Amino acid sequence: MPSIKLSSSDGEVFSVEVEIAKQSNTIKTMLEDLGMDEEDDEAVPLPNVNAAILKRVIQWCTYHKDDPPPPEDDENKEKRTDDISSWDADFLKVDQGTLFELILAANYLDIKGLLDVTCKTVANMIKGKSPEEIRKTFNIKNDFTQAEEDQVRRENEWCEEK
Amino acid sequence: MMGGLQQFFNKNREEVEIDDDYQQPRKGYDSLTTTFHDLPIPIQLYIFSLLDAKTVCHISASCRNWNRLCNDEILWKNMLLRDMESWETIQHSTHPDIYSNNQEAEELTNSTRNEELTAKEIYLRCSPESSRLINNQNDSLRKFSSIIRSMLPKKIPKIAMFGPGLETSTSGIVQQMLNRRDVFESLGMFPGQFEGCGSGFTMRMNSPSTNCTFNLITLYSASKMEREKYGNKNEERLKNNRLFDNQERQKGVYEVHRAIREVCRNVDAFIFVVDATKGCEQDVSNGQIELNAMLHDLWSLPAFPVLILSCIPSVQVERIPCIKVARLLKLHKLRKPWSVQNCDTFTLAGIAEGLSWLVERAIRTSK
Repeated sequence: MPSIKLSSSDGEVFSVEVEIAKQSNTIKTMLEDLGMDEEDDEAVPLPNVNAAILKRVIQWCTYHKDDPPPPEDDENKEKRTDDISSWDADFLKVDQGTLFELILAANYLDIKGLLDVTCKTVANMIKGKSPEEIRKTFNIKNDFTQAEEDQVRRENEWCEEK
Repeated sequence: MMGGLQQFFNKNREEVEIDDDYQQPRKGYDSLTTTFHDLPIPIQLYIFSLLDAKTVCHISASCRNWNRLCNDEILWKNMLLRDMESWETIQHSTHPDIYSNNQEAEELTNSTRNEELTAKEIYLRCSPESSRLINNQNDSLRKFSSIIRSMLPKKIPKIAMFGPGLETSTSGIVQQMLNRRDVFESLGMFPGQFEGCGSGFTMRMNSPSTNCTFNLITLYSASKMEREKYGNKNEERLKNNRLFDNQERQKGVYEVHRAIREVCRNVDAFIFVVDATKGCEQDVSNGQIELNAMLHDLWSLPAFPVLILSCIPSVQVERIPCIKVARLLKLHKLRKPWSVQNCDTFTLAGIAEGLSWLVERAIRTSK
């Protein structure tokens, strides 16, 4: 199996099968554009991803290497957020910081499947929550002035439980 | 970035003022300090786009940054497109097409065009969930008028029911209305007054929220025997439709028959039944001829309400969304208050909501 080397922001080098690494469109495009061959010993630098996150990303890609390519998005179709596989759900049982890091990495590396499942996980954390609960969940400060808050409350009157 | 998200990215790039320097490579992060606000704005919007309108409004009420983000035009436009096909009802004032700048709306005259609304405002005005609650803010006024109304002698509104859906796979609706004692109670028949036309049933709706009585006149295009002969063929139906004047019809003009006009002049409201089984789009669209001829201003006042029952024979059948029915019938051109209500003719689910709107509206206007 041909493999390539990936170097994390903090200098750790990972050797990954090319087929697995190609789930990242960023890496796939780079390999194709540069015509890098497998003999190349140079590690691909990934300055946006640290070792801890890169390790997880590789773990995810390894598990999903035989997945069919993700279908094209239909924007008008309601996207489900409750269709996360149990393996992915377990994989994403991490602290919030790690989850957001995974989103940033999936975005940078352009791994659609991972980006989708991580974003859905975050969406599920918000679903059905009140503004106060949302602030609590993500540790957000209420920075509205009293006047602004009154205004927002008036606008949102329709969605308060009666 | 691929597909939808890529488009999302591009579209939003111009709209949202980007305040973070997120595009620069970040070095040495600490997992513990990465927060939601560190995500690129297109990703934050993408996550919001996975949620329902109510939750997005809750997000907008949590902090300033998100309040600004959650008013994003593209986000709400996409949510509108995503959700409107699942709405169960659409009314003359909640039809998104009359507020948005699309081709259909261009045909409207300036007087009916509304001021420019944001996608969020359109969504909240039109979604049955939010519009009902927003309109409830006028409730105190309505309650007051209903007290006055209850002191006046009660008038039983007359409703004329017609439309191609009475004669297709959804024709069971009339039978079901007479049979389903849990939904309607039949209080007896009344005879026709105009050359035999206009007979019907007095019915009372048994629903916990409303308890209204109405006179229902059903107008078929032909007798039962003839209808069975033509089957589902829409052209045959139109050609032989006895609601229209025979002589005019031969010339290709659909004039409502004299006796039917008299019926129309004597009712307070209309129900137009269409078969909204998926695949019947053309038949729904053809229904325009009958609908517009019957609702002509010369024999019914513009204020008289029209309920369009968008029917399927059972819940297992896939349906045309009511927003599509509104478009196929070009209801934005109809100069009467109207409401499209999804309904299945077996359980009659949805019919109570539609009829209570219609009856309430009819009583209000016939004063």
